[in-house]
Amino acid sequence: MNHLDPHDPIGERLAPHKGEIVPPEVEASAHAALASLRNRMDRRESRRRERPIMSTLKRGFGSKLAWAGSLAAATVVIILAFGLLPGGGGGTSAWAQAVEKLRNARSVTYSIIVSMEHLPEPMNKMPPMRMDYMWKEPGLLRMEAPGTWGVMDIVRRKGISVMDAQRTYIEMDLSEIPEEQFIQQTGGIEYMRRMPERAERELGEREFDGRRLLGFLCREQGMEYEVWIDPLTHDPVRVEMSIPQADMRATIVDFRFDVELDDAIFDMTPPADYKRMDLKLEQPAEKHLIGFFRFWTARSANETFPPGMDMGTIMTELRKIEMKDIEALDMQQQMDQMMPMQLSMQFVTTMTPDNDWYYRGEGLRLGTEEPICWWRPTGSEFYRVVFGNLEVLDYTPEALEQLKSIISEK
Amino acid sequence: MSEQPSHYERLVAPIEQRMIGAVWRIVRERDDFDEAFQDALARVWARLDQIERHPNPQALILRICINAAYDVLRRRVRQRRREVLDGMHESIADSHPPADDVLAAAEQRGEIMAAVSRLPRNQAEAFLMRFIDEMPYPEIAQALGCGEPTVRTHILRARRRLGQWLAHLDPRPPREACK
Repeated sequence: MNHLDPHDPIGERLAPHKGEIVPPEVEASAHAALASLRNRMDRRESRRRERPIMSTLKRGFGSKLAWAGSLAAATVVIILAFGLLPGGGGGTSAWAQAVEKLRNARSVTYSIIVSMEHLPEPMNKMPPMRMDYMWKEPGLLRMEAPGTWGVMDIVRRKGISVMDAQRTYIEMDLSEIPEEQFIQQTGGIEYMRRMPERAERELGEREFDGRRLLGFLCREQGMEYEVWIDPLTHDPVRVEMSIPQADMRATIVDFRFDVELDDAIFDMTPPADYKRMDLKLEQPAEKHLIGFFRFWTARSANETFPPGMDMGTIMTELRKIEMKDIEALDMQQQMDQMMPMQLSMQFVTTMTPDNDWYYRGEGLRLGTEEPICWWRPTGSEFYRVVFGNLEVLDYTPEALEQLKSIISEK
Repeated sequence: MSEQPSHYERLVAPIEQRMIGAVWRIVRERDDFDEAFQDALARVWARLDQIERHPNPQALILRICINAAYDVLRRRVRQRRREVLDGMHESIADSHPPADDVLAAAEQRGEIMAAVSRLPRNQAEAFLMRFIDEMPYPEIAQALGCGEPTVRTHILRARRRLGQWLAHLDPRPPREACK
């Protein structure tokens, strides 16, 4: 008998009854599933214990990479499709309520607009890129942009990205990538739903499209984002994100909460006559940077390195280098070829000020003995210095200072 | 020095049976249970960071389990309704009258759960946590991230609606049933 309310006939029929047992085969199946969860949790825990530095690094990548990647090229549509990223904090009741709204929403739709107008010519002539997102419980996400769309099941960590113009699709299995990296692939929604209780500071009121909004600033791993909230309803209305060192900007607008979204729009069946492509997801690393330098110098005039490593410069200069061999490839091959560039850009744009990244490749040619760039990996006491022959060496801070003084004397 | 218990031992192990029991009592079918329970664990895994930071992690885990089971229940009820509408199957109640008390009780439970699946999610969640898992109100409030008064309101509303929809299951006079 249900002790909650012995006179409630409905509760009485639902409550656990004395002596009632779950069938043994159900128990067995449940315990097998729990054992799998235990394994995953234990592995995650031991990874965190053993590699706190790596974990921090990955979190850093998360925030910016997917986002930098979304601009890098249409080659990695998966990132363009799902990559974005806020994180953040707050202090007032308005902030707390906005955070609560995001956390408790049963469905949310919003749009991410990537602006190019601040970039150098001709990139600044490109129209803003708009991606529309639809999310609903328990974790279904759909992204739509001109010529492409994608669906992700965040709970099952599976997704599909479809490129209508090329009549191709990529099926994604994200179950094996680290949690922090996975979160970055969720179009910002998982970050927004996990925003912390406090923002870094308040930005006061500002008017957007005739509407006065209350702003909050958050920073995370070299990325800044401003969350603008309606002071009356406390709904988040606008999120402006930027990665200053990569010169990247995007805005999330048009939030709508708890709208009816048909399950059919989250169907992950690929269009019948589209061709499947394979995409191997990798963590951006030093090897990708070196691969990118090799790729670039093989195509640039006089084997020169790129004049800068920010996204605007690369996107602009990319038009000047020889790409005929790439253009002749089919889409799968193009994607394979361009992936190191994508990953190297991610590698660079996720550097934090602590990494002390410096690039000086402008005008230098492949094979030169001069250093091209350096950075200090997070947690390391040594700098990694890349030379013109693409060798990479460890330098102590003192040795690097000496190297810098030698360079400056020239 | 003794080792600290792992996250799993601390967060999940003590409530394994409650998780299993809660999901089972909502779906009561092997296939549905497997689907709901797998789904629940996937959600627990996906929200581990949030669970670890939560003031009552176990209440949140139970909420996730109940939610996953509730989703499966809703799908199943919708599917059966469609099948009936499509004329693929006749209503079980129409074609197969209960053979004995056990079957009758199971059907009544099914009827109640079908009605629960029609409730708004927050009401259904609170109701199921209270009646399926017998959670105390403060725990439900923590799991739902709202105040205890809100939980009580959700449950009261849920019971009123269920009382109206399922009046035929209640032998008490109408006024008492809708208190």
